[in-house]
Amino acid sequence: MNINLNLEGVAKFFQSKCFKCLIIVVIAAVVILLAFKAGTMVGFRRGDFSCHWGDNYHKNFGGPRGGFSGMMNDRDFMPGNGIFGQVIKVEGDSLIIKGQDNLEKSVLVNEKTSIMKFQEQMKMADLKVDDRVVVMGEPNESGQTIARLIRIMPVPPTDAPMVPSMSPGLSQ
Amino acid sequence: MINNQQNNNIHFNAPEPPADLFHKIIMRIKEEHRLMSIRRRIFVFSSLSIISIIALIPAFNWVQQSFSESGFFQFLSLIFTDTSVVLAYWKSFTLALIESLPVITLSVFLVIVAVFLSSLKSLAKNIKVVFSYRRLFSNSEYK
Repeated sequence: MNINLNLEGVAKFFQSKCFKCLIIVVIAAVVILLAFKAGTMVGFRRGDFSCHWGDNYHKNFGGPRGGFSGMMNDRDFMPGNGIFGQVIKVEGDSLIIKGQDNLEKSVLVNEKTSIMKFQEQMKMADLKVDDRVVVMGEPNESGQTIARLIRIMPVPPTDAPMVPSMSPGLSQ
Repeated sequence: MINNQQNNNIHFNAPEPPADLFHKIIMRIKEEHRLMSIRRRIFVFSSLSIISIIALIPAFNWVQQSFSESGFFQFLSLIFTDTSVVLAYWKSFTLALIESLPVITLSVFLVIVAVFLSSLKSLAKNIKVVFSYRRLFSNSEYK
């Protein structure tokens, strides 16, 4: 009899609003913790890439020896896994792209890189200055992105420049 | 003499107020108070709805601009055009997407949307209560 009553109490608890609230709180906590973890991970990666980018600026783009770390003071850290922008230089197996944040990025192309335009597979030689590209890849220790996929985007209908002005590094 | 007595009877037989008149008056006053607070809430929620819908326009433009500047949709489009490469390098693709997501602008926009929807919900609820009160008063004994 007592066991029966207890079981009924437990069943009632599982159907109660209190239990639903508990479940919602647990799910919300898990989502918040995952978002926090993702935020710290992405922030760390961005910070790391930005640091390498600044330290190797003179090597990659030809700037001052001390690097351009100071340029990042008032800027957000830059992403290293995805670049979207305009090709400003094609040199051997590397590209320099004016990125979405109006900073130049160095992209390395290797044998694993797929270069696509519409449905066609392209070659490195087919890439030209002013092409608009989307690059997906992995950042390396030298502040460059090793491209896994480069998609050449169709030319937009207007002739307006994609990025309004050049970065301090580009203007030098 | 008889006339005087008749006059007195008329005076004393004046119609008595119903027994529950006091109760009805008190109830009506209470209902009016509640209605007043509901009207106040309707004013607050309608103002909030108007402010949030006005704020939605610049917030939407801001979000649109942030998405186009970050290239989020360009990265997202890769999943449709280069599915096999994206699946092979899903980690890089996911990170590229997360990195390009304009979190702050999107959060601000979503907060404004949430404020708009919740104020609209409360507004509809209060308007419904006012209409039900009106119907109640038009048919009720508190008239």
